[in-house]
This record gives sequence, structure tokens and C-alpha cells, in this order.
Amino acid sequence: MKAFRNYTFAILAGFALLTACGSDGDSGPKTDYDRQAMLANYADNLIVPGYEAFKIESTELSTAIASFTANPTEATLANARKEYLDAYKVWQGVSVYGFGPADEQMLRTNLNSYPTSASKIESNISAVSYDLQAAANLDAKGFPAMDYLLYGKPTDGELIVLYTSGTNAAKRKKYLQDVANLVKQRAEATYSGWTTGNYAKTFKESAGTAVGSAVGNLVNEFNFEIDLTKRGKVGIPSGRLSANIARPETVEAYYSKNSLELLKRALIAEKASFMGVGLSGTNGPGLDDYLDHVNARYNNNLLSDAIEAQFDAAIAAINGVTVPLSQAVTSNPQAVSKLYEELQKLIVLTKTDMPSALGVAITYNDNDGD
Amino acid sequence: MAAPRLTSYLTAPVSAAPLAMFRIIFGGMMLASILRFMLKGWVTDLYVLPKVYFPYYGFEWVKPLGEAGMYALFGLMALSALGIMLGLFYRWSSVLFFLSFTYVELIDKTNYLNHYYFVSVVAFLMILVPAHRHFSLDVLRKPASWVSHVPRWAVLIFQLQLGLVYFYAGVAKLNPDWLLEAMPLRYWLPAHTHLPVIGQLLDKVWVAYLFCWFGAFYDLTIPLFLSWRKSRLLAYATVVVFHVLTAVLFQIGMFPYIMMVSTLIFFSAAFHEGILNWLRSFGRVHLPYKPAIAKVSLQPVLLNLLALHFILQVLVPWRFMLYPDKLFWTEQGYRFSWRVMLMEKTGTAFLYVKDPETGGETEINNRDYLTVAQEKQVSTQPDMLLQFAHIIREDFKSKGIPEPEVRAEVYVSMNGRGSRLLIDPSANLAAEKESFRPKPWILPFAEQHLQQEAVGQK
Repeated sequence: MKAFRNYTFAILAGFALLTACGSDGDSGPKTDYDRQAMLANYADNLIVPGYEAFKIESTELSTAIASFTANPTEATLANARKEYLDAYKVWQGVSVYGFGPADEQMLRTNLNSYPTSASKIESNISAVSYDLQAAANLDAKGFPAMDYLLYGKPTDGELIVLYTSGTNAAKRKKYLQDVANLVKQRAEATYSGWTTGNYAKTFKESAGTAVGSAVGNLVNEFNFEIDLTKRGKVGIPSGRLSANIARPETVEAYYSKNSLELLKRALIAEKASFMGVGLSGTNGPGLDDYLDHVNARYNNNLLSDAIEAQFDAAIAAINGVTVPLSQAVTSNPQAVSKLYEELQKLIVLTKTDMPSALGVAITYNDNDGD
Repeated sequence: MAAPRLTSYLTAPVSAAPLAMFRIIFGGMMLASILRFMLKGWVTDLYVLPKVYFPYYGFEWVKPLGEAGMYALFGLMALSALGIMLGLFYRWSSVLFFLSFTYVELIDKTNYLNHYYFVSVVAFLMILVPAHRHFSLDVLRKPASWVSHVPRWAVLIFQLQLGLVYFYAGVAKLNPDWLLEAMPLRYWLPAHTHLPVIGQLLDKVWVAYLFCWFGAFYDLTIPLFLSWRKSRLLAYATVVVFHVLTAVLFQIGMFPYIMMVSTLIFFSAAFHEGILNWLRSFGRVHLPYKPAIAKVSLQPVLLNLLALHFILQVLVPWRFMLYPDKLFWTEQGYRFSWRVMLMEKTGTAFLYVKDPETGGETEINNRDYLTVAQEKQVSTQPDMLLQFAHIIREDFKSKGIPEPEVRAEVYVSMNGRGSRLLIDPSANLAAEKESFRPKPWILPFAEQHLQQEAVGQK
């Protein structure tokens, strides 16, 4: 009977504590970390402004391409290339938010499937018609295709000739414009999904950390993006996935040789995303603060600090690569290896330690925590 | 049996009502679980779409049956669960249910859940008992088979099995991470601060401690308090509160509900008879006046079989002691031991295949082979890593590399500890074989500190 009394007492005490503090908690903001404020920061200061900037850049790109195709000169080409690079860089900043409207638009695959297929592009151009929405044309459109179309010849003169007196010059102009317009359309659709489509509201009000929740999406896509950065931008070209035989032609922006700059932009954007730094440069509540809130630690220090430092190490390693990546994979493999290893360490921290500390689920299935 | 008194206790007649109720509840819950599983599209996601599977050691012959085959199997499983619930063609239904359910569970250890194991065990026990001879369609078919009483063991085994599940779940909680660090609840609870009333509390560390200590106390003692008449009602109220809480907080599907209704088996015969009589009143069914006691053929054999079963049930959770190092780290002897909600374990695995002739090494993109769920499990469990390495070995052999070497660089974070290497990244897993022996290539937990430099390919 004594055991029973103790048991009853233990349970009643437990519930009494819970309810007592429950009513206490209702009276004021007691939660130290406001997940809703973090989500609002992501939506209002990072994602929506990011897509807005991308929409503007892609419109400018489309306009610059129109001027170039209307009058292909060195000046209009230079302008088109500048706008192309600007838009491509801004794209690196939003690529990490591949959920919701971006997922509906399949933005990542539609805009940045590389390496591009020059032969497919050429055969599309010479064909009577083509369907750029077809899955078969993923590697014949987007930024990688524009990279080929704007930089595919060793000199500016040779490239301009393709658009003036070359065979299929008219068709080539149309193809380039079609590709640019599609980028613009997708960018606009994604932006309006977040704004007029009200996805920002859904995102900000989403609760918990389960699969499909805002936090779940944020963390899972963040890791997907870092994995892609490591594997796609550095791993595949350096031969990591092909028995150590380098494949320089698979780098991002192969023709314009902007791979390293885009990689750096991607990592800076991923770091800003981790820290909740908005486009204006203000550091708001982000995943790093969330980690600090649960006191996630790595090697006796804060895990957030370790991740931040590892981002910096990876970005610094880019500087060690001094020539275009497509060259460096064969001429300077040590520097590329160093870069790859820093990215490997980064993904271990973000994909292993971070989701674990935040209790983020990755599958819909039932589990019992083992 | 050695002790005649024990035998006569076990075989003494008790009311058949609790067993019949348990049959209805178990069959009904299983039917609901199977329909839910099918409606969520999990048959396709887990048993049709994956490119590879991870069968259990010794059960490599268990394979998925293709889309039509899997749906047929689940259809059969649902029908047999219905048969159990109604008590219709009960022997066939219970055997079919046990076999079909267990077969599906054996296909891929990615989907291992303690609660599925529990279902298989209970389904096995259901085959052995005369649960269909009271309040069943089989009795309508063959009125002569009706009984009012069954031997005591037929009810006791379910109480014992449930008690073991709770007790061992409690024993597993008696570890420093759970009791002293409040891990992993300390990480899991703050994800639910949006819940009404208790939400804000879940952010507090002391609440995590309270949940941990209460959880351990609850699991260890609840079988006792449910068995004891005086504490039963209160204990059952705790069962409901506890499982409702776990259902709200964790992604554990049907399990809480199954436990909530299964534990009714601890209630008195009068309670169950009352419910059955109430149900009978709708059908205007009248019971025969004369009691009938079920005579179980082969009862001595069954009793010995059950004794063996429970000896195994008691021993199996301790098999981890035969292995070196920390159980949570190596997971050697982790499954089939009622270890629920104990670990937050996340991993990242990089696998490399080397052609020894050229020396060229290729990093694997795990998702080329694995589903998201499979990758998650492979990245923390050594036996699944070994299986994955063998899958890769066979794939590269078929691509024309006769003796590929496969190694894995795997980082694991366990219960809040910084990620560190799980296995020896230089071990050639292609040459290692699966067995019940300790896996020497698992790195010791205590000595292994954080990896400062990526191992990578050097």
C-alpha cells in the first residue's frame, strides 16, 4: 500500500507541476527561443528579398539578351554576359531554399543542371522545333546552357559571328532568348508563390520540426544544397566519383570559367542562411541561434561556432585554388583536395550534428527513436 | 513440468472473456494499422520503390514480392487481421497473419520498429490460444466449440508479454544519458513548443528530466500496478495519459493506441464480461447456461514451448553483454530488446570503392542506391553499413571490376556528442563477412574523439 501511495503521489506531483507551470507559462512570453521569429526572419529578410533580387536580375538578364539578339555586338555581348553572371550569382543565394514554390517550379533542376549538353543545344537550335519544358532538355537550358551560348567560342568575334552570319543565326538568337525567358518566368513564379501565393505566411506559421515543417524544410534543403555544393561543384569535376579521373568539363560554368566565383557565392549564401543574415546584412535569428538555444556543443565549444568556422575554412580554401577550376582539377589537385576536404568536414557538421541537436526528422514514416 | 502446482495454476480455468476481448482488440488494431499503412502509400514507398533491401542475417531469402505481390500480401494480412477480430477461421487467420506480417518485417531492417516486433510476438502467441471459442463467428459456425472458460495461461501469457515489454523498456532507460543528461528528450521536446498548454514547458530542461525520470519509473512499475486490483484504475489512467503524450510528441504512429487498448487485458474478467454482455445485448444473443471449459490438445507441449519462449524473451535483451563496448554506439544486440526512444543518433556516411588494379577510387553517391530512410539507418548502424558495402561490391563487380575494395568514412553523433568516426575508415568492408561475432572494425566509443581532419581520399 505504501508503494501505491508513493506512486500516486509521484504522478500527482508530476501533473501538478506541469499544470501549475502551464498556467504560469500562459501569462507571459517564457520561451527563450522564438522559433516563429526565426522563421519570420528567414521569410522576410532572406528568402523573399532573395527571390525578389533574383526576379529583378533575371528580368535584367532577359532584357540584356534581347538587346544582344537584336544587335549582336561586342558591347551588347559584354552587357549580356555581365547580366548573366549577376543573375547566376544571385541564383546561388536562393538555390538553398528549394522547398515550397521553388520545389513546385523545380527551380534547381530547371535552372542549374550541369554539365550542359552542347550537342543537345546545337541539335535543338537546328531542329524545326523543341520543347524546353521537356525533361530531356534539362541539360539544354538554364544558366549552364546560357554559359555555352554566351561563351562557347574562344573569342568574342567568333561568338558574335554565330549570331550574325552563322548558319541558324536567327534560330540561335531565338533559342538564347527562350532560355533567358524561361529563367525569368520561373524566377517570377517562385517569387509570386512566396508573396501573392501566400507561401510566406504558411512558412512562418508552420509549427514543429517534423518533415514538411518550415524548420524541417529549411534544414533538409540546407543539407541537400551543401551536399550538392560538395559533390556537384567540386567532387564530380575533380574525379571523386569517377575513380580519381578528373572530369574538368563537368564544372559549373565551364565555358565562362566562373566556377570558383559561383562556388564562393554559394558558400557565402549558405553561411548567411545558417546564421540568419538577411540581404541587408543584418544578423537576425537563425539556425545558429537555435543551436545555441539548445546548447548544442562540439568539442567543448558551441556547435554553431564550429559550423561558422568551418564555412570560413571552406571559403578560404577556395582562395587556394588560383586558376579556373576546370584547369585546377588537373594542374593543382592538392588545392582542390583541400577544398573538397573542408566541404566534407562542413557537411559532417551540418548533416550529422545539426539535425540531431534540433530534432529534425527526415522521413514521414513512423519511428521509435532507434 | 517440474512443478505440478505451477502446472495446475497455469491450467486452471478462468473466464474466456478477457482473451476474446483481447482477440477483438488486437485484430481490430492490426486491421486499422494495415489499412493506414496502405493508404499512406508506404507499401509502395518501402517495399516497391527501393532499389535495394537490407534483410536480417539468416533471412536473406526474404525478398519483396513486386508491386502486385506486396499489395496481395498486405491484402491477405488485412483479411487475416479481420479474421482474428471476428474470430472467423481463426486458426488460419492467426497463422496467416503471423506469417504475412513477419515476412514483411523481415524484408528490410530499415523499417525495424520495436512495435512491429511486438506485433509479431503477440501474433505468434495468438496462434497458440483458443481465443476464437468465445464471442466469435467460429462459435456461430460451430456452436459446440463454445467455451466459457480457458486455461489461465492463455490469458497470462499476454499479460506477461506486455509486462516484459514495459519492464525492459524501463530497464533500458536506466542509463546515464537518459537519467543524468535527459538525453535525447532534452533535444526532442523543444521541437514541440507550439503545443497548447504544455508547449512552453517543453523548452525547459527540468521538464525533460521530469519526463525521463517519470518515463523510467512508469515503464518499470506499470505492469505491477496494472496487475494489482487496487491500483489498476489509476495505473490505467496513467497508461492513457502517458501514451497520449507520446503520441502527441513523437512520430510513432499506431503504437501508443495499440498499447492503450492492449493493456486492458490486465482488467478483471468481470470487466470484460460486462463489455461482452453489453455487446451481446445488441444482437440479443443468449449464453448457454452451462459453463464449458476449453480443452487444449497438446497442452503440455504448448506449456513447454511457452516456457522456452519466455526464457528467450527474458534473455534476448541481455545479449548485448556478449559484445564489447557501448551498446548504443555499436548497436550489436540492440534490436528485439524493447529499447524505445532512447537515442538521438545521426550519421553521415561516405563510401568509397577502389579498383585494386588501377588504384582509382570512386566516392559513392548514397542516394543512387538508397532511399532517404535507408540512408539514415545505414549511416548509424554497422551491420547495415556492411550490407551496403556488399551491395556496392556486387554492383561494381557487375560493372567489370573483379575484386573491388569498399571502405566507409562514417561520422556519427550520438545523444548530443560531437560527430566522430564510427568505423575504421581503412577497413575493406568488401572482404568482411556478416556474423554474430563482434565486428572488429567498429571503432571503440570511449577512445574515439572528434575527428579534426576529414579522412577523405588520400
